Amino acid sequence: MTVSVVICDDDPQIRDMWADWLELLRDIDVVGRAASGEEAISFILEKQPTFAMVDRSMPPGDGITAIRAVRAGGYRGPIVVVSGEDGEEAGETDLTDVHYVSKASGPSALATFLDGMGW
Amino acid sequence: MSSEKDTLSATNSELRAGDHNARYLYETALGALPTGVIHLSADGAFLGATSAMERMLGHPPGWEPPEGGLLELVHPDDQEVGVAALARLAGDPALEPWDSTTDSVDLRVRNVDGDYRWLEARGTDLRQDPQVAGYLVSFTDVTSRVEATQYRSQFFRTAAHELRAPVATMLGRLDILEATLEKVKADLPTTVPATVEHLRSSALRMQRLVGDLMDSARMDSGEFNLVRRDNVDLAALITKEIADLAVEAAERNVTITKRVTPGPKVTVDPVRISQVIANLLSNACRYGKNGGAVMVTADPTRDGWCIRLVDTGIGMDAETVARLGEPLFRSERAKEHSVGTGLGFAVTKGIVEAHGGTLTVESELDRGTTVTVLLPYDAD
Repeated sequence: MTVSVVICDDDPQIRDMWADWLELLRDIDVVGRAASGEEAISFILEKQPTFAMVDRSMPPGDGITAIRAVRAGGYRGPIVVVSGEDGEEAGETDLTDVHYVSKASGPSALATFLDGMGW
Repeated sequence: MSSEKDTLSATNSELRAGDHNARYLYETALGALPTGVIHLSADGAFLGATSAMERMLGHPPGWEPPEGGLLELVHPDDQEVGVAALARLAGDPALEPWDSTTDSVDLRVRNVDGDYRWLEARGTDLRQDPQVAGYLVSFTDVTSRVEATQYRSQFFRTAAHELRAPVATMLGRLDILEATLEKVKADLPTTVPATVEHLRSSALRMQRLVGDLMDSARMDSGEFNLVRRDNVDLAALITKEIADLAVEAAERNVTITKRVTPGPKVTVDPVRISQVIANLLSNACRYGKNGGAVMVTADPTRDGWCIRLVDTGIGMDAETVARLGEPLFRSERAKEHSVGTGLGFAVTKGIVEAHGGTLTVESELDRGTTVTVLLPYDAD
């Protein structure tokens, strides 16, 4: 099974790092790189990746609004929320199958999520 | 007889004059202090204020608080703190007793211009003293201190937030570099993997620093919260942290031993308690002597787990011990001995306290340090 991902982050350095890391180290197919909430909604709904990675804070919008929109649009895959600060995961009890990783942890928290999924 | 009466009368008159002089001196001295004092009756009614208090709030002599009471002057967000402090001062049995020698609260109080100033309030219960028959509450303007702390907190938060992405990028890129080099490692000089390892070590150190900055900022602003609560096997956690520090301990020729008494699991944030043990172990090694030792013990007690780290390191004088926990504080001796920021210990102490625990330090110069953490079985 080919695992695919859409990466959504407004910081191009970290967006490209996640993409290279996932492609080179986990053989995951990066099918979209979104730089804004609007792009995130559009790419995720269009590409229907196995999972999506969404930065929680993507000025001027925010990742959580984009996640609510893609869920409303029918996307059911797991979503990794990348948060800038530890403990930012409070308050989104309405969202299902979302997994939080702290940006501060670097790739180690993402690796734990992928290991758990068997990817 | 008459002459005795005259003498007594003259003596009383002198005493009254003496009283008057003493009172004048007392009031003048109080007025000259930067601290204002308010006198409250046993039922909390306003009885009077020193001139320093009136001056602090910009009021003329003879000022009286508004009809609704002093609380009307306190910022709405701080009124709960003020009421709770007064209840403690009054000996409310449901609350922790007020210690007039150490306890204080910071409140925003409105001055005559309608601006709020941060005042540090300290109270003394003198209801049993017939001269006072109530409470004395002193106020010191600490606006500069509070604003400096708020500025530092905001700076730490911004710096940490901005540094997280580049640090994460470095760590991710190092993973990629290592995996790429692994394919050609036979052809590489040994300096290449060693350099990558040094880069990773530096990036991880920066990651810890960024975390300490963020934690310190949260603790300053009262926003530090524990994220998870898990049942944790403390013995396993301590064993893992000692193993993780083996390289650093070996580099410094410090021997770490442990003794853990079997006991119940503890409900804590495992990431945070690991951070506490790792920070304390790292400190014990960094400030250890060549060939020194660190003994870690953990024993279940009535009030929770008692974790103790005893080292044979450089130790600290009493002044340094008293200042431990102040963000950014490092003694001159510590600066000479090892690199650091002075944030790690403050954060460690904050994490223990966020679990409802206590952290105490005893130390002796050139003899070593004992750090004792008392961790309740179930963090509130």
